[in-house]
Amino acid sequence: MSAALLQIEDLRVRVGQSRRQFEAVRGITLRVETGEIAGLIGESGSGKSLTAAAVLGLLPQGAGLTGRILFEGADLHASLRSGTVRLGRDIGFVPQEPMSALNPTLRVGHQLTMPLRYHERLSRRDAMARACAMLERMQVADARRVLAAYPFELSGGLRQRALLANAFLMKPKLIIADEPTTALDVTVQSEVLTLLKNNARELNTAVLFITHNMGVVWHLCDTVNVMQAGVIVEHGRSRDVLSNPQNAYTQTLRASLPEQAGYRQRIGAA
Amino acid sequence: MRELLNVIGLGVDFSLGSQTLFGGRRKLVALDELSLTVGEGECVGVVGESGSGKSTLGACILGLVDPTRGAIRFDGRDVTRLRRDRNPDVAKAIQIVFQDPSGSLDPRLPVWQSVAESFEIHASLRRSERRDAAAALMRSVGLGEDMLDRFPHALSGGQRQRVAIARALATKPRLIVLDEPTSALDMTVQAQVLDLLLDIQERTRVSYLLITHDMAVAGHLCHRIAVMRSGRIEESGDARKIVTEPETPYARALVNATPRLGA
Repeated sequence: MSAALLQIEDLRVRVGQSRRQFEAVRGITLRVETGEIAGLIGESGSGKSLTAAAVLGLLPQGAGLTGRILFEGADLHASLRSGTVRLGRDIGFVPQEPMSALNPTLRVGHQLTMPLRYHERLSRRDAMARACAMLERMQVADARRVLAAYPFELSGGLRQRALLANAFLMKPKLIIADEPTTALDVTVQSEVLTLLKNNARELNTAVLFITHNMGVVWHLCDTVNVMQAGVIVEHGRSRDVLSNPQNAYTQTLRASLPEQAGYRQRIGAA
Repeated sequence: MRELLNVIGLGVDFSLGSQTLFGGRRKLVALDELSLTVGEGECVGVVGESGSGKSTLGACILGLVDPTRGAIRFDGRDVTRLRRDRNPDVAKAIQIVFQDPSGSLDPRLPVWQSVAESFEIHASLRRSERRDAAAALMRSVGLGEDMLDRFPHALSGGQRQRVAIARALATKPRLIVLDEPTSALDMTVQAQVLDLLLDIQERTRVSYLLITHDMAVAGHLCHRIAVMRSGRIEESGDARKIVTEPETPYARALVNATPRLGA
């Protein structure tokens, strides 16, 4: 098999103090191909966010990691150390909480242009123009105002669009998105997800999308990996897996969806 | 079906303070001419996005916010600006379950005491009797004896929400306001808590007013749904009808924005 864009092989992550260590990710293997949107779905404690943190090299201190993480066929963490792969430039990240991910004391424009000025040595003016264009791509009507604003001045939807723009800014090959829409209203969520999907397709960016929401996976993802207690229990084309799950846990998840449980009849016909 | 709760033309204004030193005070209309009924044993869903006013409606019904206009009738009685501390019978009859059970339970009390707290106010029972009553309530929500002396931090999110439900049931309420009762829970746990709420309603014929942003949850739990936007009811009717064939553009947008399998 040819090398995938991102390849995780037998990844294990131990967390906790030395005496009471706990293996939270227990040997997972998954691939994300170039331009593919891959879902990683599971409930709290399944290890899905730790997996993302492991890929990004952002594990909490004292966490132990074994297994291999390959990016374009080379060991990712070695590449990060040597600088051949850089976060922000080659791998983008969209966090869950847009408020805590943005620095509250810096204008959005400052935060969006920093990576451009650092990685591409752009002038302030050119970096601002790039950030502005990318915000417009994210259908921000008044991009100049957003760049001049502090995060608290923006709505949750605008903040998440700014973070999407930030992730796509350097046109990375891979974006890791950790539940980027859980804090948003459903109509805003659907707008943000559509933007993520369309831009990923147009820019041929692969996405590893972490979520607990099966409906979101259905609409967004090409493939899905279902995670339970640190193990991937099922994977495949997302619509195949979700419409006809083979694994008992995936079946339980699917049966938990309220819309699968039917409607109530009006009581005591008035 | 007998009407239990009747909200008539309810309006709430919040004062925002003035923008400039000499400017007049601005006001925000949180609820505007809102009318709604909940029958006995019925579950009515109020679905809306953040800022739609759905939680303000719940607060008015509980007597936590005084409405500016309109009236709230409960079991035929006007309770619009009724002080609940001076009318314990009304306070007992209308209870609430909040979204975040870790924030609504006292972290310093073993959970049985949180469940039994209302007995201290509303009934004169000895400590051992209160504990037995709490144990019975906790059994009715699927929590065993071994949970009684635990503190909230030692429970899972689903167990904490069961404690919050047991606590609401302690006064034998006739109406429970459920304010996003499952949105902090995992999918499989949410399904269990929804089943429990259905089961309790069948057993006790308590009425629910479900406040939620989740159309799918409302569709499953509710008989009727009212879709709220900017303090008004945009559309209301039979739950199945609202979820499958909404008429107004906003209700349709809400339903279509809900990510579902195969839709």
